[in-house]
Amino acid sequence: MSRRHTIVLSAIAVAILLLLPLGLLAGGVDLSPNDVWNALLSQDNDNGGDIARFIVVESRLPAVLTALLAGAALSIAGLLMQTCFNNPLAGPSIMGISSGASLGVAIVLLATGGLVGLWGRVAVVSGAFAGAAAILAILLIFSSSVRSTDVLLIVGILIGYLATSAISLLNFFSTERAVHSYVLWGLGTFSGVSIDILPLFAVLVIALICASLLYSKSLNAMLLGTQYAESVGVSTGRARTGILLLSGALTAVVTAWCGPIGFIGLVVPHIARMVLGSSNHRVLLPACALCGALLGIICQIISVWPSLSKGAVIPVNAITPVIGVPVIIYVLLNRRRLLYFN
Amino acid sequence: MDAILKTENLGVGYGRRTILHNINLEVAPGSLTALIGANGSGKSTLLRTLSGAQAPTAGTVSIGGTALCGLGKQKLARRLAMVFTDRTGAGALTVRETVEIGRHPYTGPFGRLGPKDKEAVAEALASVGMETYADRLLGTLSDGERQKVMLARALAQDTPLIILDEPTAFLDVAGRLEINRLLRQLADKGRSIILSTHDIASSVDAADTLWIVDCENRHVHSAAKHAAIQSGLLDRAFPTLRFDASTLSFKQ
Repeated sequence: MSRRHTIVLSAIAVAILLLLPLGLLAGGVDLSPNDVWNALLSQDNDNGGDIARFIVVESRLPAVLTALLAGAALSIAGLLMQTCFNNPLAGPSIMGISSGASLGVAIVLLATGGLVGLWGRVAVVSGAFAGAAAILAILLIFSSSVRSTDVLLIVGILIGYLATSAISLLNFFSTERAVHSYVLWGLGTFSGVSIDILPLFAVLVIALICASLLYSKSLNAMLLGTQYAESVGVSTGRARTGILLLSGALTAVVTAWCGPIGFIGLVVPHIARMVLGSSNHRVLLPACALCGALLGIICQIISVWPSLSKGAVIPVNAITPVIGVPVIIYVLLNRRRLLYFN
Repeated sequence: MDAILKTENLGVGYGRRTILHNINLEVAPGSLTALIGANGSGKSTLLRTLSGAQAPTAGTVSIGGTALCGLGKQKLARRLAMVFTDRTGAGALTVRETVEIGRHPYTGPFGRLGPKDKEAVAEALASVGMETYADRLLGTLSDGERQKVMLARALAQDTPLIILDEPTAFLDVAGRLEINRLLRQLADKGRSIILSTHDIASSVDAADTLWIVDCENRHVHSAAKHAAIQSGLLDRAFPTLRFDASTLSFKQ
């Protein structure tokens, strides 16, 4: 790792650490830094601090940590796909995986009239997993016979359209309540993971991110193209299957709990490459995770910033395009100069 | 001396369609072999078959005395390195990082390099005269410089045999001459090299052996350079043209 890479990674980590307290302070209820600190240190049965403790520990802390983890997970998923398909526009939402997860949730919410409670949550999570897995399975079946990554990318986009079409049909034939539940889920939020579920969510995301690091060597070889990767001993078919499975699993985990969050997976790999000035996955994967976590917490803070949200929560999907679209346009207009896909 | 690469009654093609058949070739250690033939004659298909990227329609290929089909990807990558024509999507890798990919067959799951690997990378960069470019990004180099980096990557792979599929296709005259000079040097130092090319004059000049794809008989002839020129074997590559030995070029 070069000195520049160390400085960049450290700077992003410091930025995240600086934003963490801000994430705990931001929200509809005005709490002082002291209130937040005391709430974090207080026990369950402390008198007087119950409300502050509930807001900070039960609501804001899980939301902030979920934002960090979800941002990192989606960014890694996007990077894996962009390298695998050698395409700057590949990403979980473009490849239809988010649409697959959404379809799974739509089937659960719309067909059942909008389930609530613990079993409702379990059903939503299962639906997202099943939907993402179904799209992944279709992509993997195609990938065994389609050699061209561009064709596979187009197949992913088309399958995504099919999933969206099925969701529209389900919406059309569903009850008002069910449609309302689905629309709320689809807006995207980092507040969907409770403090009890957070350890499970964290373990899943961290395990999948660690597994993706195992592919850094293959990913670097794949930058040179399939022929070169094969010639240095990489089994590109097997690597592509593993990479697609990992990126699909990362997307499914996040989509299940947070809704189909767009743009983070598409845009963060580009930001990470720009700040690092490198495509070397040994540093790019950690940088992507850190940049994703940073963007996640920024989106979370904006979504609950009192003067913007007026006590409510702005959907994350209303914020991510504002940040993502200018970056993508910049990357596309400067594609030659940026070198990443040359 | 034992051949580095040997084919026996090899047939190459796609599915049931054989493009070239009954090919019996050998590559001697430290030799430079130029594969010459018309567009679409099956040169790339032959090289893909020799490198194990596609299965033969008949016969066998062996590298270092072991049949290709018995070698796993990792073992094959320690015996054979490839250089292709295509530009890569690795523009934001440095020259050193690109050459380091050549050490993949020898490194662990994370690709961490040991002292021996770093030495091999430095030697490979020096062999092609790119050591001062080590920290430059690949995307900032000219096509000729990029191809030298890809050659260095193949050298870092430390294989007895290197196959190059039209490595000078997008290079200017100076670039072509430079690559051919480097290949000649490498062969003189003991590497076996197979080179497919349309750059007849400079590659014939540099080569020890010529493999000539005979389109009419769908066969590949092998001969020492001078024998091939004197016997008129080169004319088989382009039936409508005549090879002029004085200029090492084809004429109508």
